[in-house]
Order: sequence, then structure tokens, then C-alpha cells
Amino acid sequence: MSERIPKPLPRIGVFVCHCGTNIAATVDVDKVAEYAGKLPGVVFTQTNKYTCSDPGQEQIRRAIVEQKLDRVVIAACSPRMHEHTFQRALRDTGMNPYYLQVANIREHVSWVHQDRAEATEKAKELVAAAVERVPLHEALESRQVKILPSALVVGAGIAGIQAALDIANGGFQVHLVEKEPTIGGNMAKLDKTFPTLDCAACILSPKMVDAGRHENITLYSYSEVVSVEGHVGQFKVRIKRKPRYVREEVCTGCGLCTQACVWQGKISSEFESGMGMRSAAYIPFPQAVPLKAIIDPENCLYLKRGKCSRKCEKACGPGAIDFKQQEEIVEIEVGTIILATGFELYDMSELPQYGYGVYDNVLDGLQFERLCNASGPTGGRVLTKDGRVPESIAFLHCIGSRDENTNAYCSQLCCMHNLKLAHLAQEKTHGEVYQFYIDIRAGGKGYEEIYTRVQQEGVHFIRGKGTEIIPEGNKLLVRSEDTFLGRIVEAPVDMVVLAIGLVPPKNIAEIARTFNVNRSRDGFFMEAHPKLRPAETNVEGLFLAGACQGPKDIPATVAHASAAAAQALSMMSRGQTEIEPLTAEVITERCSACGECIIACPFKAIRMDDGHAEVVSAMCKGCGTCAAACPSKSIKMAHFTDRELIAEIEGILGRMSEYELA
Amino acid sequence: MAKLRYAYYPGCSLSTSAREYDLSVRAVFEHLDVELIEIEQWNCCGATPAGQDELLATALAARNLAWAEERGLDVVVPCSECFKNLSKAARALREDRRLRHEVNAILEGYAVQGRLKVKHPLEAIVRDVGLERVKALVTRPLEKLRVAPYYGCLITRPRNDFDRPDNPMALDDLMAALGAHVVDYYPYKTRCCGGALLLSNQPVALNLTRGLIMKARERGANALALGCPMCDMMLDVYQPQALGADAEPLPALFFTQLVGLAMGLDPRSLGFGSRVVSPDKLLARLSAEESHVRENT
Amino acid sequence: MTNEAKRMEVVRLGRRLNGDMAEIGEIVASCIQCGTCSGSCPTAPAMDYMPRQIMHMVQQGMKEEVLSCKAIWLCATCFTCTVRCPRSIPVADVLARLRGIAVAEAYAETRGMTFNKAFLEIVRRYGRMFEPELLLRYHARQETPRLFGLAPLALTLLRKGKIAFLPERLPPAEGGDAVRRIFERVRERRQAGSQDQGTHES
Repeated sequence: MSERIPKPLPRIGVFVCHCGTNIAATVDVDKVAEYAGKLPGVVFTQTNKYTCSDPGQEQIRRAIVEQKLDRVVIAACSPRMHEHTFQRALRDTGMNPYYLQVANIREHVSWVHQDRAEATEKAKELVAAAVERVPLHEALESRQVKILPSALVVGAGIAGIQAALDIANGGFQVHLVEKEPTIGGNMAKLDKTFPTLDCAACILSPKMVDAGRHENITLYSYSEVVSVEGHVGQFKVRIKRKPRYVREEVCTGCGLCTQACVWQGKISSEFESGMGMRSAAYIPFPQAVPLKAIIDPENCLYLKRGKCSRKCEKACGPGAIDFKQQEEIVEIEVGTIILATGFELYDMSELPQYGYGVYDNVLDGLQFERLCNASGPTGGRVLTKDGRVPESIAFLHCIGSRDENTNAYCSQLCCMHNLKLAHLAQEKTHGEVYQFYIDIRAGGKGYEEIYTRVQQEGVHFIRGKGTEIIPEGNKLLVRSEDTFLGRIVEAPVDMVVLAIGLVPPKNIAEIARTFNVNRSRDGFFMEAHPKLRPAETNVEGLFLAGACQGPKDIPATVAHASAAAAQALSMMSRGQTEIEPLTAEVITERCSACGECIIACPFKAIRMDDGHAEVVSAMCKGCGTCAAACPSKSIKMAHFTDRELIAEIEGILGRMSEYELA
Repeated sequence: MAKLRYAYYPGCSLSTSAREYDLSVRAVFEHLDVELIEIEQWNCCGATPAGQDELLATALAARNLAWAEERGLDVVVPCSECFKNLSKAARALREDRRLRHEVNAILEGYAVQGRLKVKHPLEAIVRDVGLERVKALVTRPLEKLRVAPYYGCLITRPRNDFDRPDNPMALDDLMAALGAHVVDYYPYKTRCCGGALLLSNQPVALNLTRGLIMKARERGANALALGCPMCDMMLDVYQPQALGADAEPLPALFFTQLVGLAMGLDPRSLGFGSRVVSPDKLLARLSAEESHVRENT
Repeated sequence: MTNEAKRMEVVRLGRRLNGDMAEIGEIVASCIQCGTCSGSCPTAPAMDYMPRQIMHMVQQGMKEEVLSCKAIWLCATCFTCTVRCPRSIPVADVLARLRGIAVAEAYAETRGMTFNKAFLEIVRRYGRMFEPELLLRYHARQETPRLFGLAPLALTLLRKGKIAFLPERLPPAEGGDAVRRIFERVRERRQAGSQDQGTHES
């Protein structure tokens, strides 16, 4: 034993778990316990069938009290499973919970080795390592951090709106930030929603109005989050309010400026997905919230070139137009954050064989929605570019989804979306409607019903992915294999609607960096656990709502958003949270203020203060990168000090002398 | 900048049915001051039939790659089929350790690793030499040419680093750099001509050829530019048969012949006289533009 | 039994693949039968089975049917299927391999098979292709040799210097032998491999 061990020697108890047969089938648990009993400092050993169970916990508590133990080693499953549970048992007896060391003899031994003798030897080594380390543990205390009673919600589509309303109704303040001039997101563009075919605007508008008017919600439209600092419970957020060139407090939303604007509706409208037009001074759509005008600086002649008679200004009764308006930065502090940044459609330039953006009458689903919508550019009539009612329309599934060449995942909602669009297409055109599909995914409530209905309405289902569109005369030819017939088919149609894959917004990487959130392989934000914690992230106090976490339809989005809100409400109503003390600490006397640790820290948790580096422990994740980067070894990792780690290694190496060296 | 040098793998058809391709590649590369060193005693890559046995195809290709790799040279391969075989082999040798060992055991001598680039002359010209240099050397801009650039299958498929499989633009850009009017007849620029099936399934092959010639014509082309001896067999030698009496054949030329022409090289040295579908009318039309000869920079 | 008659039989599942076919089965395992390969194939309308069906038949162990179908010999090796397959299955290479097995296991000869065999035999002998002999060999095995029909074309090509009279042989010491050895050794390895029904060595 080394000289570093404190005197008097702490009294160590070692508990070796059978874990049923998970460990015991491969590792000789009794031999390990017997071996442990001979190690210096170990005064008590015990084996348990299931240490994590109530009786198992009770045995530990009793042993601590009866044997007057100072330290505990538990040889069992991975600490990621039950370390917290065991720590609680220690705390119940009054012992500091960090006087525990778990030796992983399941994931690291019994689950990966087969030879019983060798596995048992390895388990002994890991126990020896834990026993060598545990006397060096320090008594650490968790910190309490206050959680401010306010939330930031980023994105005001249906997910953001739902989350904001839930939190606001719960009595807490919400700052709702939306990058577009109006809230409502993609859902506001839809005509009718599946499976019930209710009108999207009818179900969304009331929520939009609520969100715009709620006393607990502050809406920042046409704004973006610029930076986030701080930690759970106390996030400091800077929001950039982009200039509308219209004073919101004065504008009545009358729309006269939009009619007066010299552009006369010749700019492609984002809300109409390119199917309709707007002027430079515009209101996105009649139910916009806030119902205020906005002047687009990219196209406005006065803002770009200073050359315009400014008819808008003259038309405005209340005098709300202000070309001198500047961008504004607002700083707020919130306790929790919910990301609800939604989705976009995949960039079709990678799939030229469908002619999207090249051939007339090849549309995406949102564009078709705008045609169907009564307040859309055609007043709800489905028409080709040259104004005819199409005699035939083909809907192609899985374009840029379920495809390793583009996006490998399924976009979840397109099957149902296409069925709904097929129904609308039939209703409006009474023409031939085709669905080219691979599978029909209709898993939700009422979904199979609408599938059957659409079939009965005479829509043609061809089971085969549409592989290419070829213009032939004034028709578009859809080529595919009808896999049920085993024949190549070509459908000459007047219009093609592509179900394009859902992807994260183009600036998702930037957003992820701003909020320090991880992303999954598909590019969407990563949840803390795919099954058990779908609305949480690796950042405490930061939650995910809706499609920003993965493609979802409206029912799933609303449920997910309420889940995120519930998580946020839970934190804010507790008012405080515990932060684990497993953080970095700067030994200030040694620190030369070189700044390497600040550069290295992935969580921006270190800053320079009073001539030396200082760790903001509430933000620190204990990853250890700073300690490794520090050239003078001036950073100590609580609970993972060099001494503790070396002791573990020596515990293993110490056993080596017991082996015969060949 | 150091002079570009490549190992050169002509492939079997470049000394016979696609003579003009060999002539024009060599002439153009020399004019561009790029050195081509023919691989000594190169052997046939096995074309399509070898594909039925991965070991055979890789070994046949590897014998040629070994020569180039040993000398630290990348390889230029004009025939698209050979290009596909050699680049596939190079990649397999790099990525499949077991295959690499087996192939080297079969070959003896230099143990080839696949650490070299295999390039179609289109890639060498467009990416390595660069279109700026090409433009600078154009003395007879092909302004009267309405060319349909034909990639065929194997220049861009299977996926490679050179150009994208659907709607590639390298040949379009090269033709534009020569001053020609480039005809857009997408998606036919990469549609199969049926060359591999010429002997075993001739009607199918002729039908495919006919389809794409008609489309090129429909879009106003008066010439077709191609880069593969098999495509050439279909689109020049067999084009009249494919079209029958329905239409007048479209002159189909190796793209390097057009590059050479635009750079002022003698058409005879580029093999223009060996075409089955005569390019004479086309050449006459281009000559009428002699008064537009551009100054060299 | 013809493929036609076989189609009417009930297919008994549970046929296990081994050797080469098992390997191919693994390659096509993730096929979702979307039909993109068939839909992209320029010669599919002429095929008796769609490329997609062949993928499935391989998975179901229908070796006989797959190796005796016309479809695999109608592949133009254009690789459009391979480039578009959403599961990254190298469809064209799979069909090429099936052709190889059909040759190796002496399935009924098709025109494509004759062509392939003739081609490779010439490469083996000369180290390079010699088209006149290829045509001779090919047409010699056809029921109605069309050699004389090629005469006008042949004359045109001759005039333009596009036909070789003599093969360009690689001298034995300068590659000829090396190429023959390649063929020989590949054949040896194939024979050794087919006796060994188990997995390959790594």
C-alpha cells in the first residue's frame, strides 16, 4: 500500500453483486468477495443477489452502521445504472455519497468474457482498483442552483406555440422568439389536416391568437437568438429583433401599404411557397400574428437604392412606417429553454431526375397545400401553371427519404400527408390521382380509416417508387415499376407532387452551437434518451419540442411540445435544482492565466477572473478537457483527481506481481 | 507549375474500332503540354465479361495499375468501360484487404496497393488542366456547333469524385469552353446506348441508341460529343441502322476530336476521316466561320 | 421444368443458400423491394424478371430460377440501379456475379453467355482483344449465324482502318504468360473455394 493513504486507514466495506446470473454465471462472486476481504483496509465483505433491490440496499445500510464503515465499494453493474441509487443508500446513513466507488464487473467483465477463471481474475483486479482508490475520495457536496420562473421558447410553429401556452397557463413567464414575421410555422400553410380533415387555420388560429395575447407570453417576432450564456436555471440570452421598418405599436394591420407598394405583388411569397406573390411591403397572410406589416429590405427599392416615392408611407394612416428603424438587441434571463425550430424540405438539387424547380407543374407538398387552400394564390382551385384544371395528378412518396443517397430515415408524416392530398386532389379536380409508394405508413389513430377511404374514392395506388419524371409534350411522364405486377409503368400526368424528405433548417449547426446541444446522425437535435427522455437534451434545463428532434406529424408534435413544457414546468415550480459536484476547479496559485483551458472548454464554462482562470461550476460538465489542456496541471477534477486515477491503476498493476512472469 | 504526366492505358479498342479516339487524345494532350506514357505491355481489362468474377477483373486491371503505381503515376483511361474497371479495381485494392492479398499473390512482382488515381481524359482536361487553359488555346471556336454532350453510363456511374451521376456538367462545360452551343437534352445525356448488348441483344441496343439520338435531334443538336468506344460503336457505326429510314444520322464525334478541332489541329490528324456517319457537312459549316478566327492570348 | 411451369408451383420457403449464393444473399439482405432499380433500368421492359424480383428471389434461395432467367443477360451494365438504390445495394454487380455463377455452373447457354465466354477466351490467349475472332467464335455457336450480314459494315470499317487483321498478342515473356497465369490462378482459387462450403478466411 502506498504512503498516500490517509491514516488511520478508513474502514472499507466491499459488496459483490450476483445480479442474478448476469454476473454470477461468469464470475465466481464468492471468490471475488473472499479476495477482497484480504485487501488492506477492507473490514467487511458481502455478496448480494440483487444489490439494487430494496433488501440489497437495506443490507448495505445495515452494514455501514453495524460495521462502522467509512468507505463503500460495490462490485456490480455499470455505475450509469445504479450509482445514484447506491449513493442514496449511503446518504441515508449519514455517509457522504461520494465515499462510494463502483467496480463494473458486469458490462466490463461478465458481459464481455466467457472464460470463468479469467473473468474472475479480472473482476478481482477491478475490485482491487476500487479498493485502492476509494480511501482517496473526498467528501463532496452537491450545489443548489436557483431556477428562474421564466422560459425561452425558440420557434413559434405549432410546437413552440403549444409549449409556450402550456407554460404560460402554468403561471410562468414565456419569451417566445420566432424568426419569421409571423408565428404559425409550416402548419399555417396547410389546408386541411389528416386524419380528420379539419382546416388547419381553424385549429391553429385560436392558439396563435392566444399566444399573441397571453399576459404571460412576450412575443418577439422577426427575431433570432444571438447568444446564450449561463447555466441551468439562469440562462442569459441575447435576442436580435430585426427591423420591420414598421412601428409595431402603431401599425393596425390594415394592409393599405401593401396595396400601395410599387412592387405591385411581383415578389415570390415565402408563405405561398413560391406559388403566389407579394410586394416589398407585405403582411404574410391574413391571419398572421402579429398582424403587422413588414418591409423586405432585400427588395424594397428605397432601402436598397434610396429610389422610391414611398407610396407605402403616404398610404399609412397612423404613420407607422419608419425607414430609419434599427436592429435591436434585447437581453433576458430565463430559467429554462425549449427549442422548437421545426423542419424544412430537402434541397432537391441533389435529385435532378424529378425536375423540381425545372419542369412546370412539379410541386412539393406545401406548394400543393397552397393551391388547395381557399386563401391561397388560386382561391383554393388546383390549377396547372397555365391555369388548367389537371386531368391527372401523381403523388410520389419517399423522395429524399428512406434513401441512403440523401436521407436514410423515414420522414414519418408523408404517407398520411399524401393520402390527404390525394383526397383533396380528387375532390377538387375529379381527375385521375396516382400514388407511387413503397409502403403506406398509417400507424396513428384514425389513420388506417382515411387510407381505406382514399382507396374507395378511386385513387390509384401503384406500389413502386417513382424513379424519374420525363416531360413529354404537355404531359409529365412518371416512370416506375409496378412491383405488384412486376411490370414497368409510365403514367402521363398533368401535375406531379413530390413527398420531399424533412430535414433540419439550414442553419441547424449554428443553432446547435449557440445552445450547446448535440445532434443525432440524421442532423436533428439529439434527445437525452430515445424512449424514456424524448423531450430532454444533454444540457440540463434545455428541452426539445416538435420536429426539431425528428420528423413528426401534428398529433405527435403537440404531445412532444407538452412533454417539453411539463419538464420545464417541473423544474421551474421546484424553483431550484441540484448540480453534481463533479466539476473542474482551478488551483489559482498555480494558474499562469495562459487561457488554454478557456479555448479547450467545449461548454464555455471557464472565464478569466482577477488574473487567473475561473470555472463556472454550474456550467461545467466535468469532461476533463481543461485539465488535460492545462500545461501546468493547475486544474483539479473533483472526484477524478490524478491521485485517484493513479491509485486505480496501481490497484490493477499491484496484482500483476502476483502473476508468474513467463 | 510542374508539367502534368500520366500513365496512359489505351485499351483494346483504341487501336482498332476507336482509332480516332487514341489519335485525338494523344494530339490534344500533346497540345496541352501534358505527357502521356503508355503502360508497357498493358493487358485487356476484360471489359464487361470480366465483371462476372471480381477476382479476375481486379487481377487483370491490377497488372496494369501496378506498372503505373510503381512509377508514381496516375492513369488516364479513355475508354469508359476500361475506366470503370480500372477505377473499381483501384478502389477495391485500397479498401478490401483480403482481395488485395489474393490479387497480389496471383500477380507476383510489384505488390499493388491501389494508391493512385484513375482518370477519364475528360477529368484530366476539365479538372487538372482546367477550362481556363483550354479556353486560352481555342483558335477556332465551334460557334456553329449545336452539340449534345453525351456522357454515356460509365463516366459518372458508379459514383465517383469526378462528377455527379445525375445531370453531370463537365462535358457540357468543356464544350461551352470550346465556343459551342450546348444542347440541353437532359436526362438523355446519361442514358444508356446499349453498347454492352450489341452482339447478344442487338434489337434492344439499337432501340436505346435510337431513343437518345432522336431526343438530341429534337432539342436541336447538329452533333453529339462522346467519350467511349462502345458508345461510339452504337452512336457512329450502328447509328444509321438504329435510325433506319426515319431520320438523317447525327454526326457523333469523340469529344477530344472536338477539343482538337477548336484548338486548330488538323482534322485529319484527329481522325475525322474515319467516322462512319460523315462529319463533312459539319466541318464545312465550321470552316465557313474561318473569318472569326480568334487571336491567341 | 421451364420457368413458366415453375411459376405455378407453390414455393417452399426455407431453402438455404450456401457458398457464393449465400454471399450474394447477404449483400441484398437490406433490399426493401422499392422498385427503383427496375424503374431506372433501360432494358427492364425486355426482361422476364425485374431486377427487383431477382433480388427477392436470391433472398428466397431460388437459385435455379435466378440463374436460368433471361433478365441477368439483358443487363446493359449502365449502373443506374446501383447509383439510385436507396439501400446502397450494388445491383449491377450482383447481376454480374450471378452471370458468373451461371457460367461457372454451366447453366443453359444464352447468347450473352456465349459472348462472355468467347471474349474471355480471347483475352486469355492473346492478352488483348481481337474482334474478328470474337465475332467468329460468337457466331459459330449461334443457331443462325449472322456473320455474312455483317459484311457491308465490315467492309466500311476495314476501309477506315478500324479492323485489325491480326491479333495484337502480348509476347509470352512480356505479359502473355502473365495474363494466362492470372486466368489459371483465378480458376484454381475458384475451384478450391467451391469445395469449401464454409466461410472465407479473413
